[in-house]
Amino acid sequence: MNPQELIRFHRVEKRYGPLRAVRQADFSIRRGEVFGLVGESGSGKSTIANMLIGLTPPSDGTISYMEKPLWRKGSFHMPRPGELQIVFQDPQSSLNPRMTIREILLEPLYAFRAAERKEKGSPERLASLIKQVGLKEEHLSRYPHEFSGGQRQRIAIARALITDPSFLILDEPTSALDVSVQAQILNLLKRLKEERNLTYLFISHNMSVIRYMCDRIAVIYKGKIVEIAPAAEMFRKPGHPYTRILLSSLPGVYGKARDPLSFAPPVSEEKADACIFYEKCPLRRERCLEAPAFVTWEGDWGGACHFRN
Amino acid sequence: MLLEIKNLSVEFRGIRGTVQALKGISLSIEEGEILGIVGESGSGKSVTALAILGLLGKNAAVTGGEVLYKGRNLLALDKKAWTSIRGKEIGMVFQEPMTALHPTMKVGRQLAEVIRRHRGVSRKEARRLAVASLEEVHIRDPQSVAEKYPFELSGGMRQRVVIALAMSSPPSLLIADEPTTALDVTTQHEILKLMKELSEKRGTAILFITHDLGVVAELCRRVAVMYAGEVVETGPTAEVLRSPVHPYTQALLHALPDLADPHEPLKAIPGEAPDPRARPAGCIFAPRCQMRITRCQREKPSLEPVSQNRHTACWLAR
Amino acid sequence: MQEQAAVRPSLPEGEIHPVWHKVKNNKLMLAGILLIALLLLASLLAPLLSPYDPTEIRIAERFQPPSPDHWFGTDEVGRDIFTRILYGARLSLGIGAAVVVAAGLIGMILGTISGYFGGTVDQVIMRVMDMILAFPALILAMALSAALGPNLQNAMIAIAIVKIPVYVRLARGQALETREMLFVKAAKTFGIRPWRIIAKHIVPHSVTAVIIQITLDIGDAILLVATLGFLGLGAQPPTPEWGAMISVGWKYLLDYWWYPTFPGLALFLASGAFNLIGDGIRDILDPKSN
Repeated sequence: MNPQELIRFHRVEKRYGPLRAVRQADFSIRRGEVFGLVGESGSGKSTIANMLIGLTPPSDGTISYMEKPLWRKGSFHMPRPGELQIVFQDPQSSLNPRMTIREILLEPLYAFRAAERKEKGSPERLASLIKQVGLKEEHLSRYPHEFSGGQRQRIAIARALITDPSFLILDEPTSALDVSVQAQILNLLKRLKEERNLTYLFISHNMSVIRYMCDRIAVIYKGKIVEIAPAAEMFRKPGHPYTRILLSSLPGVYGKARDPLSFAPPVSEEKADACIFYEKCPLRRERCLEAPAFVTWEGDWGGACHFRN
Repeated sequence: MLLEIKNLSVEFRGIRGTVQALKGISLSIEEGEILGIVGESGSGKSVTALAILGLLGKNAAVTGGEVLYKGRNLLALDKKAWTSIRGKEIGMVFQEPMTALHPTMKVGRQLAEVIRRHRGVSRKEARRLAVASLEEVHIRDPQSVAEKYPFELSGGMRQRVVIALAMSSPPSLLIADEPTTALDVTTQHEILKLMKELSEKRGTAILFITHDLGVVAELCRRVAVMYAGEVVETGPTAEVLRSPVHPYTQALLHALPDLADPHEPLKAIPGEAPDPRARPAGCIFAPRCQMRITRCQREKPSLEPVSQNRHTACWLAR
Repeated sequence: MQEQAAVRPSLPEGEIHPVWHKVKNNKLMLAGILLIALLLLASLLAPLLSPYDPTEIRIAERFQPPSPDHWFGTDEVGRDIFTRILYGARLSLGIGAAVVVAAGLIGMILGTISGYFGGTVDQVIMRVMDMILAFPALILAMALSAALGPNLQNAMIAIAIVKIPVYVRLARGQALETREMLFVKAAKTFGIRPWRIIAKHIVPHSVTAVIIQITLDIGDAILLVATLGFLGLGAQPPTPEWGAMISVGWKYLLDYWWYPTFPGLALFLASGAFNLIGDGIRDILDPKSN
């Protein structure tokens, strides 16, 4: 096993009855990288986050952190409380409006024993933490409604950092924020990552943000990961047709994409063993009735498409 | 000139004080053109749409200016006069399609009823036209979709239906407030193409409100940039994006990750938008502007032309 | 590092809290509050307001009509009715509040557990509540207090039991809603204990609704206590409880009209006042009444 591998998803499935929300997810996240997960609504990206953070168990497969499975017999165990943390999309509802900022920040520490809690939650540490995310010490005694969306997201980030995690899941952290505030938060996230040696799973539907933030990117469609590539390569020459369509759909501030591609008119019947993208793929052929395997194309780059394989 | 907004100011009055939502904004749209209004939250872009449509709530007060549609001042219209304008001459599409769709009526019937009201045709003819208009908004299999209820359709399809409804008269002006914000990027792309197509086909002007500069670039020929209740820059979209004149527009473009170097921090705009209850004197953007001079904090610049078809409200840009 | 000083203050300086503003405007509600305040005060100051003992029997002064000596007249054994009403107010208000608060607390706990955990626990609790709700409130209260033995304590227990399901439903609904909120999901990811999540997040969000329901219910509880007293199932003589007084006094309505009338009036005012307050609270919270 690769000592650089922090997280490993091995053939992970999540089913809700007949619906397969996540299909055969197989990928790893390396220490120190920003791993992007991009997909549209219903793609399963949030389900992957939920499984990784302990909110919902996988139906099949293993999710490991530093080689140890996180889920054992249906219950979730982190190697140490607060080792993995998550920042959610909506700064409005991710903070309890009836708690002060201090209480909000201290809450994750209740998974620790009293002694460690006192140490990690000391007034000095709190003050230092709140300043690191760009707020002031006096803000600790205020309530969430007194802050703007961007500030609340800073608070959510501080809360995620209080346990000194090694790994952070960022689930659409700036999607609800204005462009100018988004820039501040993205800068903050990058700085914190450097300062604290963090590893990120960055989930978004916004390709520009993903390109800016991530080292490697996975594209997910209807529960299946169809391509994983280093960011620069993926944007320069996307491999999978769905990735190409995603990039073509981006409203470019400075012009259109090369090689634009669009969805094909959908086929009506369900083809059970076909490629996940068969229904809307503009490049589909008969071969595609048999699902392609996920294959490494070049170095860090891989995907599931007959035409690239 | 199809629509002309002159110096419009709107206030919201509540128990906690008065909020200035719009302060002296001026805009114009020609027949058949697509104008984008771009701004962040609190910029007043949605309030502008509501003001044009006469849909401001009871606690809102227009404290100055006019909204001239084909020469008539819309602000002076009474309820009765509005019935022949809203929905007929001026159509609207909002972010959430379910605000415009009856949840327990089949989609085809909703369309047919509206068509009947606007064009006075028979029931049978209206149904036929309803299916035709579904086809026009590129809904596949329009016959069977007409028999469906809104909850059976995807977000993108619902929005297409709402567009069909809005375009049924057809209106001279369509006001669209963030119609694609809640949609997937691939669906958004299709809807934008559709709106452009319909605008050209029917000669309908579109006032497109959004926070997304990319969307404006793709769809709108001209753009107006709003900040904290004021218009700070207007002009042809390509020019404004390529060489923005107002410091806010410049800052906004620099803050986008779209073309940023991943190894460099983004050029974030320092601070936050002003408290709507406590607007600074002088230029509204001065507190956050990197290029401000003393004059900016004391005197408020008005929207003035900088070239033939570009305007900006900035002391430094003249 | 850029400045993050802009924080919105809780309320601009010198401004009235919006809720108080609405209360001031609702005249009926203010009347209700005033009435209850007066009643409460009167009941607490009873020894000062009346020289009589509520249980002292003076046969010589029986059935006296209202007079400067006996403002509300006397009953069949010469007890001053005004005094009995004042002391009765203590019982009615106190018991009404106690019963409803007890039902509220128990109901809130059961409902929160039911809503948060779901599954079998939820099913069991809800079915038991369904059984209670299957009976009309008064009938069940009567049956329970008759079975337990007719006295005031058992009447209180009976009424509390009858009132619990409303609170269970209320708290359960709130719990179902709150547990879906993002801050609850966030709390789950920290690895803290479920009881901590319930106590810190779920319960506080249902407290407001429960308090409002309690206020709405007190008026009804007061009437129930009186009804049971009237039927002989609650307070027993010589306790100066309004319902018990009416149960003896109604026979004398034609001859000694003051006997049942004043306790009846007191009941009407007390429960009516609480209803006005309850309506007022509902109006305040109804967003459409803006």
